[in-house]
Amino acid sequence: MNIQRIYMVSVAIVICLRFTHSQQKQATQESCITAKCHATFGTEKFVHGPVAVGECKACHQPVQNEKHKFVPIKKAEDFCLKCHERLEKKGVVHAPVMSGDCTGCHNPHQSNQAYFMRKGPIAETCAKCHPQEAMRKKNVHAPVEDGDCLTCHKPHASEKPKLLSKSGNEVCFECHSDMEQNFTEAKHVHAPATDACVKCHNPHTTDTSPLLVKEQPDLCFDCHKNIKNHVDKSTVQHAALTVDNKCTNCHSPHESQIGKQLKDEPMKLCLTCHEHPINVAQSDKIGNIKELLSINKNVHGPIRDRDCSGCHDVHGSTNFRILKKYYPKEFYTSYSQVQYELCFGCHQQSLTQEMKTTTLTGFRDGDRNLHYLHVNKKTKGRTCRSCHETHASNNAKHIRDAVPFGQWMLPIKYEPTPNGGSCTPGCHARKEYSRFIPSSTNNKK
Amino acid sequence: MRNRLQYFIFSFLVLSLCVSRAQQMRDSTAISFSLRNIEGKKYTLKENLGKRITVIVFWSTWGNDSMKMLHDLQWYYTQYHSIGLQVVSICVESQSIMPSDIIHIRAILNGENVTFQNLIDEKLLTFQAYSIVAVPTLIAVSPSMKIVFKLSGYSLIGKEKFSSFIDSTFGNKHSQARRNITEYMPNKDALRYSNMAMKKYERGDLESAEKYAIKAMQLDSLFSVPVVLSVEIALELNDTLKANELLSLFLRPEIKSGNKFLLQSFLYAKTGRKKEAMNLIEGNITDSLNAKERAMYAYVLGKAGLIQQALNEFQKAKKLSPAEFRIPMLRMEICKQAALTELVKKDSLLIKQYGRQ
Repeated sequence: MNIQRIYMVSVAIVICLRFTHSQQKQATQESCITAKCHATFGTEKFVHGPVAVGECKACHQPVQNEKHKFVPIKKAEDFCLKCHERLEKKGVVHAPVMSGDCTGCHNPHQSNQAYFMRKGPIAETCAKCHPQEAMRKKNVHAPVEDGDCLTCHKPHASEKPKLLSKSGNEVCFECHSDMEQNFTEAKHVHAPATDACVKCHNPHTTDTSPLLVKEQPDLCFDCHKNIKNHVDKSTVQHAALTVDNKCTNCHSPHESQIGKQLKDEPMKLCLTCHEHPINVAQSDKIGNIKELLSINKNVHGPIRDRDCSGCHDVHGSTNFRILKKYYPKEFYTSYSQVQYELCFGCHQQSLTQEMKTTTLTGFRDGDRNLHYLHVNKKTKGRTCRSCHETHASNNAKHIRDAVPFGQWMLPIKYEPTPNGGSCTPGCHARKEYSRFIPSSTNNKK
Repeated sequence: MRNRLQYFIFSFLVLSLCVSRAQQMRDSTAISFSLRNIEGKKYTLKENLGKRITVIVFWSTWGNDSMKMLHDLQWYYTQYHSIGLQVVSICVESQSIMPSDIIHIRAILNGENVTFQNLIDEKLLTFQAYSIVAVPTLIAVSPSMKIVFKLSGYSLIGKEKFSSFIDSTFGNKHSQARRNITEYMPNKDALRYSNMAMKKYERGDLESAEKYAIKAMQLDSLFSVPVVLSVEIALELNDTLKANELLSLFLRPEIKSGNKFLLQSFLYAKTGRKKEAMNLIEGNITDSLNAKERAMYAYVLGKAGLIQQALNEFQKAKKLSPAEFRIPMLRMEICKQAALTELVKKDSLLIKQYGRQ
């Protein structure tokens, strides 16, 4: 009995061992990758582990008793998670990750791309769902151009919106580190730029440079409505607003060390264009201001402060030469306070209203106000330009060398003295004035 | 005749006053004045000077930028009055002030919520004494009556200058010296590609990192960062030949970099030339190393077998920049060599956090 039992057990063991062996043999023999079938598997740069070792059944489970029939894979993730760590599905989760469609992006067998990406540059994989045609406008952001969506986005999940790797401008500063530094050091920062770069820039592609969401000046006018209204109302336009970089010809849209987000000192900016004569109309030419200022040492206050906007409205005006306020073009005009609005924005209004003064001006003979005398006339009142050069001259108080009278230039021959001075223009014979001892009597003689 | 004599005497007195005051102004000494304030009370400058600075502003209701200046001065006054800023405004409305003018001036000051002293220069004598040409004009005076700042008009530049003056007087952050803008600044696009390369390198995408570093080098051949990074990439790809080629590019005198010897030493250490590596760093290490450089230095020490010293240096590097990804990368290599299993595990986890495989 015992011998019989031992025999039976021995036979069973032999059968079992033989069966196991045959199973193993069958498995090896039945590898799907052969020269005839699935021959290309294992030939690419990156081969998935189970494929590399011929363990196709790790994922593809055969239907019992049916050759070449497998249980359909409904959710790839279920198989991936057998080996791979579960991805955290927190915050914003990429749709394929959410639905467990790992194989939507990753090739489960092999790939020539790192991470078993299905296609070449990452963008080609992304393009399956996110059409790339919309990413090919005139100006393309460098990472988009390189098809590297992962420079800014995370592929699986992120705490940040749009699957961004970092929040807000931080994602931009990863590459644009100079901007971050500039913002920190700048005295004036454009608020939208620190709020979000994407307020003005499209992070992918646009038809406007540099990746602006809209053309200038419309983009700027979206917020700066007052400037838009001002420009619209202006009858004299400043070309600076319409040429080259438009608003950014003068303004830095990010940061600046000078108020109004100016790129440089106001006058420096103006002189980048006004360093040569400019034709504004057929018979109207603006001279070379840079040259004028370089050869004349006594300059008007705003120019000394290097700010042309003291008198000129750089965004446009209803006055000629985009002056901020009215300023007579003529040599003579009938006096009224309004005629001198521009000058009397800074200079004492009473200068031309008080017949007598000892405090208002140095241009007086005793207490006789010579400004009043020249300007305050019902007819033929002399305008400021008659005697003063508005930008600069080599005489004190930027007095002209010559009076522009019609097409003539009559020399003024102004000679200052410690207490007054004299002039001999074409308008009248030589006249002296003294703040200390009135010369009126002498002049009359 | 009598009238002429009277006028002569009057003129002489006015002139003498003007000459002495003009002399004072030339000496940059402010002229004290006594004027009535808007409520009619007498105010004398000398008796009301600020502990640190007194700002006198000549303004008018018709002046273009007078309101802006008053508005800004009120802000400064609120900020700094308690620490020594005194502000006094002098209205120079016109040569002859009418009662209606006073009402108008008061309304304007109330509208601007001005809380500092407001004086009226009825005959413009102070206006003349200070030789005011444009309104507004601002004059800052020290406690010893020296004129320390003057601004005529209120242009953008003038506004900036005044703001800097106040900032420097009261120690605001903007008075701190800015970065020297004359120093070398890399091409902006080169900097961006270099940053992209760094990001890719950090995440272990060496192929993209190399591509971007090359782009950066092409855009700015004097920019050292992408060259150094390219050497690191080549070393990680075990391409010693390329690393050496890139190093010679980095060692060109045109490329300005403080610690050139360090990269060279690092390259030697990576390629097994431990002695040469140590020779290069000997006596050259200063406290000015940044986190990356200190990590490289630590690596050189580690490769030379000075493990504890190396670990200390890695620690110093981490203190300088905890986010520097090279620290765990290089330390892990040294720890593996020294069979410090626990530290290897720790660094391996840190490296993984950077997305490196």
